[in-house]
Amino acid sequence: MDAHKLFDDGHQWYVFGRDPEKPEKILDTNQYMIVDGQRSILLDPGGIEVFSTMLASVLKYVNIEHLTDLFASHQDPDIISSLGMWDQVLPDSSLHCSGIWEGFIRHFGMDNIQYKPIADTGGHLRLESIGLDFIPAHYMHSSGNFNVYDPKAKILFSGDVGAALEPPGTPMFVENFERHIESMRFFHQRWMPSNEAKAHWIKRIRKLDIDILAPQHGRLFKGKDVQRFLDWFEQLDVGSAIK
Amino acid sequence: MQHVSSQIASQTAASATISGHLFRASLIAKRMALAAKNSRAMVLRAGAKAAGLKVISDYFDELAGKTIRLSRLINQSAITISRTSVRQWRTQTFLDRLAKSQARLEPSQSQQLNVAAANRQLFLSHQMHSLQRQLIELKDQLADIHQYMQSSNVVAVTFRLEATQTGEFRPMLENMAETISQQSNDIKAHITTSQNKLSYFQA
Repeated sequence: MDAHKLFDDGHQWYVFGRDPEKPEKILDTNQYMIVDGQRSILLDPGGIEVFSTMLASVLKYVNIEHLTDLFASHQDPDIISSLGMWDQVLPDSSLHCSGIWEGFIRHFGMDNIQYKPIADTGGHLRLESIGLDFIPAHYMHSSGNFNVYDPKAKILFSGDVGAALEPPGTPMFVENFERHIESMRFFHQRWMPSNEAKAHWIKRIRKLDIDILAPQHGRLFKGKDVQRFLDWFEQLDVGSAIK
Repeated sequence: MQHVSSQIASQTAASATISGHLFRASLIAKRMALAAKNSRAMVLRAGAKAAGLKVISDYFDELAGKTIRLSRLINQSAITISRTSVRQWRTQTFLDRLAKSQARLEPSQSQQLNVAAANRQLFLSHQMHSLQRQLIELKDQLADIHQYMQSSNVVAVTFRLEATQTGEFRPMLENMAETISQQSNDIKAHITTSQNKLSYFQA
């Protein structure tokens, strides 16, 4: 599994993905880790099939006792079906996720980890020296959905928003936005259910100062590509399955 | 390790199958208890002509009651085994994946996972001991209910023989004997399948 350091100034952001060992028919996912001294959080730690490689990858950068928090943007299996495994290696950690999913997510197995529900209005998590904002992104695509914003690093973890379906081994960052559009179009039209929710999300996100927009699938957006993405997404008609 | 995991997976499927068979056996046992009550009523109606059947129908009623109680216990045992087996399977799956992670790490990094591995290995070992204990209990219970069904078949044969001397009640009582025989055999079939499925479990 590839690992890239996205930010390193007092605290660090890592992205893990492009796992060449993952089973072929499994959708590629990006997992993120923020390390802040002796506290670290995994954002969308992934499905059970990537658990072994993911665990080995993160331990190259952090001691296991410093992995204190997990975040799940929503309840999908590619996001958090590895929970039953993390529960065994990180029994003292906390999982931050929408309050509406607790009873559902526990089906993945959770005997030890503490569930910390995020209210619909959002939340805040203080690590050691930095704070993270849990930004509501409901119906984007899940009905209880959050992004994570780090105001110091100016990185927005956007979950499925900005995701692209691409062949294995594609680069980590968008290199040519116009060419990247076709890899994103179907995903956003089909997975995102509501134009109203989309407009609400864009309005909220435009107020943030973002250097990197980091989705859970596909390439990350950097610099001007962040605004390009928001502009493109704004005019896109979504919810295509019922039209 | 993959072999151990698939062995436990087969075992989990086997325990669920056993649980299903024993649930069906318990439903037949309930019908058998009803048949026992009917046989007692019929014997009473037949009066002096069926005097020889009274003891047999009383015994059958008692046997049916014991069968129901035992089948409930067995069903509970099978569910417990199924749960233990699922826990064992999940723990083994975790250990397999942990071992894969450790193989990718430098020894100093891999060491951090030793405590989790040791804890779960200990848990797995406890689960295996529990499972063995539960399996022995289930085997004994299955043997007991098998024995009950053999007794029940003897009841059916005796019932049929005695029924020949009951005049106009003969057809009804013979039919009753047939029902007892059929239900005993149906339960026995479920028990035998369950006993065979136990071979999926490691000694």
